[in-house]
Parts: sequence; structure tokens; C-alpha cells
Amino acid sequence: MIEVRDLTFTYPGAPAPALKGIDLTVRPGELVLVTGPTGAGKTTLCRAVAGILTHEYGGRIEGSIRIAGRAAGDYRGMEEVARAIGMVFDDADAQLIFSTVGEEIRSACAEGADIKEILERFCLSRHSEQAPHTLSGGEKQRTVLAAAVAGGRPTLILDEPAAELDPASAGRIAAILADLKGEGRAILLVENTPDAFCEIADRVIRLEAGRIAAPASRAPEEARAAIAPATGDPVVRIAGLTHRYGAGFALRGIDLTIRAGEFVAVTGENGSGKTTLIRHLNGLLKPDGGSVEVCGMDTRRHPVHALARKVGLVFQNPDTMLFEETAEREVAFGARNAGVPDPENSVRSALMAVGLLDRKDTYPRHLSRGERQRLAVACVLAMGPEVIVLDEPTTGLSPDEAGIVMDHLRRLQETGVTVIMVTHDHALARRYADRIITMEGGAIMTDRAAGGEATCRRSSSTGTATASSTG
Amino acid sequence: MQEIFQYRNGNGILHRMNPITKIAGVTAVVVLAVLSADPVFLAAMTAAILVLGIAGGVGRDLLRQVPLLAFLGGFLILITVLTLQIGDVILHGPVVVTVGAVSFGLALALRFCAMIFAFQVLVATTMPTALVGALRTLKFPADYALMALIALRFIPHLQIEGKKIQEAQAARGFSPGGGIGGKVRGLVPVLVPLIANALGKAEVIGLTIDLRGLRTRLSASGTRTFGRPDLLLVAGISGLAVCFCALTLIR
Repeated sequence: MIEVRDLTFTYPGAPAPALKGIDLTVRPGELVLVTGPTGAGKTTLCRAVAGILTHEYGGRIEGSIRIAGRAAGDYRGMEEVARAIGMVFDDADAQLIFSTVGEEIRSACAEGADIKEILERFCLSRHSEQAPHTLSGGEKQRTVLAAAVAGGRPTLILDEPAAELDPASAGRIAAILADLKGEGRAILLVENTPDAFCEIADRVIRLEAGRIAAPASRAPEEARAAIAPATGDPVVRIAGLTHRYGAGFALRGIDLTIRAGEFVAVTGENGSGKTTLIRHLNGLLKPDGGSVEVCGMDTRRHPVHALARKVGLVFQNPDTMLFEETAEREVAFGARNAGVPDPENSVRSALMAVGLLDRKDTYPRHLSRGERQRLAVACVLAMGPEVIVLDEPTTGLSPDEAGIVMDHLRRLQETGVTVIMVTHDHALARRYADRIITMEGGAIMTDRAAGGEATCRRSSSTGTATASSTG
Repeated sequence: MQEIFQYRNGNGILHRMNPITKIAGVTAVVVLAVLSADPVFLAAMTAAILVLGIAGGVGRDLLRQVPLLAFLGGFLILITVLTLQIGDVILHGPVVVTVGAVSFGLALALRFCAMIFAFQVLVATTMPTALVGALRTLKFPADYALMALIALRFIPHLQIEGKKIQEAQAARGFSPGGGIGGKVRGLVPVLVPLIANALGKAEVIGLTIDLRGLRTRLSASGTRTFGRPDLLLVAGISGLAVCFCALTLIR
């Protein structure tokens, strides 16, 4: 059980509190869902109730935090707090310490615990001997959750455990949490996109600027702005594309044409082949069979840096690319590589297009996640690509920040740029894309205009799908 | 992607050994490799470790390291030849190549191979928890034992992350070119994000260790007992030590 009374917390050296006057109780058998925009204080709240702020951070704490009936400060340290609380952070990779899933869970168990039962419960039995880095995102999160639960701790704190998961994987986590709640565990869950968890939550709390605001409500879905269907020349032509990872097929005979100025969303579960497909568009992967032609260039015959001038790929995690000292220099890096004629102007235009011109002198890693995502978009925009491809551009963003990123993408489309976006978020796809492609098992299952009828031809003998858009 | 320094499931002779014996074996190999400058002895020791690895079912892991070790060995020999002139001259010219320099360079390269192979055998055949348990039995502080564990665990993670970063920079049109110059030019755009991201994970790793109570949980308790495989390794290492002493006395 967690009891927080009138909690105000200020980080060491910070001018203002990160949490202000928080009152919160999570009782046994209760799941409290916390939502709110990036920077609202959700992670700080998690760390406060886990005793981390008290024992590890310093800073000024006013009010009280009680964990399992004892004040957080009365525990001798985190090792003692850990007997009462299990915590899952958003970065699953950083929490997988051992070399196999079984060892990971065994290390967290009390002597004599039934490892098999835990593995079965979390659908991890067949992954017991697998190395953590070979697991999918959902499997990693289930492993981390299993390790947090394994010690029999009565209280669980989860900081965005489903941030990078597709709806099906998030649903599996939700089902497990519902079970744990039924066992009488107290659960505090932070989630930016809480759809999968609303049904199992007893209460939903919205944090804003460090305070508990009104209960969260879902913004009504706006009708998609009418954009004329794209009728430009094809910029992407994929014919019979197959790709293998080891013995298995990641892509099975993909046929796809995308025209200039289209906004295409590619959806599907983890492992359906979405990312593999888009990595073919700028030549990071080469076809094992079939062909990929982008802006008239056969990707097999051109190196990645040449294709990058036509196709900008924005990776899921913007931190994989940021290395310069200012946002402006970060954007200029790509423009210089692409040899654009007026790099200064391109950099300025790109920063303006994503609304970051006033942050051009900021150290990129000091920007918020949403701003870093927009900076990543600016980095490829400054190269003047005809096609911009984005892998999960709204992962880890609050709905508000996701909306800002998506509005910028829509404005880019209006200037004639073709936008191709991988996403798990079906609502987002319906709202912004002209055309939605759904993948499953390395094949295109449906290809439809947003709001239109799907057209799909699937060969039962080969499992390949040929799709065309009605949009 | 080829993974290095990772545990492999198995039940071979090396997997059945007590981790303490294996740690002692690796220590002995390191000491002998440092003390000896005889290429023949070092080559024999490297070959013996390779044979042991093959017998223990991790030969493929060792053989995968050969191209990298050959490159590093060649580099060490080249540097030694360019900077050292001892003994008879083999080759006259702009660079004078001597027997002593080649011999010393070869010894350096073989030392390196023997130590890398021995370490690879240890980590590929020892469960990380057993390794930490053995280190704790040997009175290693918990924090150092956990550091060793985390370093091993994050080798493949860094490999994957490094590849992702390279791809992300390539997608921005970055092409540093081939050769050593290209590798040097490619360092900053890859290393800076790699290090920054790794440091970003450090806090979560530390908190996870605390929240799972690993400092106290990973005790010396899970260590295996000693058996015949351990005796065989001790005998083998003793044999190598005797050979080393004999060779030293003869000279």
C-alpha cells in the first residue's frame, strides 16, 4: 500500500518543485493509472512513491510518503524498500541484467520459488534460455515485469511499461496486471497512451505541471482535414519484395506503390515486418528477392548515403542520432552530407518547419522527448528529401506532443513531401493518414484509404499479398 | 550479428567445472602469458586453450574471434617491427626488420590471443550468476562482481546500439569512407550517441540492482562443488606451468 500526503518535491538545484501538493493512496487490490503530458512529473511521482527520491536523490521533500505502512525515510535503504515494492522502468533493456530470461527471473526470486510457474504465467516458458537482447519489446517488458513480481512484493510501480508496444502486446501486459490486482497487489501505473489499461484501472489521475489535475479524459477525435487524394507520380515502387532473417521470412512478396504527396500509415503488430519494410526504402536493407525503387533509384544499385538525399528516415528513438552540441549544428550535419545548395537556409527552414527555430542553440539532449523527435524530423528535412519515412514517430510522447509532431508532418505533406509512417496507433493513423496499410507475418493484409474500403488480394498458397489503394 | 563474450547453454566438460577453478585457470593463463616471451610456449598455450574450448563445446565461439585476433596480432607485429630493432637483421631497406622484433611482436600477439581465448572460455561456459557467486566466494566486493556481470551483459547491447547509430547516421547521408581515415571520421557521430545513451541507462541499471536486492541476493551460495573436470583443468594448467619453468631453466 502507498500513501502520499501533500507531497512537494524539488530536485537539487532546481528553481521550482517537480511535484506540488500530491495526495495519493493506492490500496491493496487497486490499480491507479496516472497520465499526463511529458514533463508533468509522472516519472518523478513513480520515483517518489518507490522511495528512490528519499534514498537516492536528495532534493527537498515536503509532506509524507508511506510505503507498506512505514515512512519512506524509515527504511534503511533501497534494498529494504525493495522488499515491499517492485518497480518497472520504461527502458526494459536497461533492466535486463542477466544473460538469459530464466536467470533474470531466478535472480529476483526468493529461495525455493517456482520459476516454471512464473515463466508460464508471463508466457515466457519458451524463452527461458533466450538472451534478453534477442527478445521482442513485449517479451522484454514481460520479463522485467516478471522479475519485479517474482519476489512476491505487494506493491508494484510501473513507469510506462507499454510505451513501445503494439496494442496486442500492451493488452497482454494489461491482462497480467488485472491478475496481479486480483491477487491483492497495489499497482501504480504511469502510461502516456492509456487505452489498453483504462478498463482495468480503478482510478485515473492526470498530472499536469507537477499537480494532480482533473481526472483524465480522452480528447474527442477530430475529423481528419480533407486533403485531396494524391495523384502524383509514383515515388515508391516495390515489386515482389522478400527479405529473410536467418531461416525465416521477414517480408513475403510485398507489392506496393506510393505516389508523391501521399501520407501513408503502416500498421501491424510487433514483428509483422513494418520496420523491415521501411528500412528497404533508403537501402539500409537490400531485397533478398524482388525490387525496391524510390524516386527512380533502384535501392540495390545505390548506396545508403546517395538514397538518403531522396528519402529521409527518422528512427524510432531520436537519441540514436544526436551527437552535436546545438540543435542547429545537428540539423546542419545532414544538410552538409547531402550537399544541399544553401545549407544555412535549409537548416533554418527545417527548424522553422518543426517549430524549433527558437531552440536552435539548445543542446539537443536537453530538449524534451517530443522536441527531440521533431529535431530528428528537421535533421532529415534539411536534406531536402522527396520522401520522409518515420518509424513510430509518436512513441513515448504524450497525446499533446504526438499531436504537435503529427501536425508538423501534415504541413509537410501539404508542401508536397510524401510521408510514410509506421505506427501502432490506429486512431492516429485514421486521423492523419490518407492511406493505411496493415501488415501481418511479413505480408500486406489490407491497404485502404483512411475511412475507405480495404482492398486486399491474398494468395492462400504462397501467403503473399498484393494490395492497392482505393485512395 | 556475431555476439562476443556471451554465455552459451551447454553441459560440456567446461560447463560442469566449478567457476572458481575456471577463474583460477584464467588467472594462471594471464600470469604465464605475461611472464613468458617465448612464442613457441605461447603458441602451445593458445592451442591448448583452443582444444579445451572445442572439447567444451564452445570452439565455434573461439574460432569466430580468429579474424579479429589475426588483425590485431598483425597490427601488433607491424608496430613492433617498425619501432624495435634487436638481433639479426632479416630484411634491409627503408624499414629494417630484425629477428628480435618479429619474435617480440609475435609473442605480444600470442599473449593477447591466449588471454582473450581463456576469458572467452570462462564467460561462454559459466552462467553469469555462477560467475558472480564465484567472485563473491573469492571475496570480491559485491559492486565489483556486479560491474563485471553488467559489463558482460551489455556487450551485445552496445553492439546492437552501435549498429543502429551507424545506420541512423548513414540515413543522414553520412559516409565517412573506407580505410583507417574513414573509421576515424566515423568515430564521433557514432561514439558520442553510444556513450550518451549508455550513460543514460546507468541510472536505471543501478536502481534495478537496488530494487531487486541483488547486492545481497547474489551471494556466494550458488557455487558448484569441485569434481573430476576441475582436477583435469588443474592438471593441465600445472603442466603448462611446469613447461614454462623448464623452458626458463633451459635458457
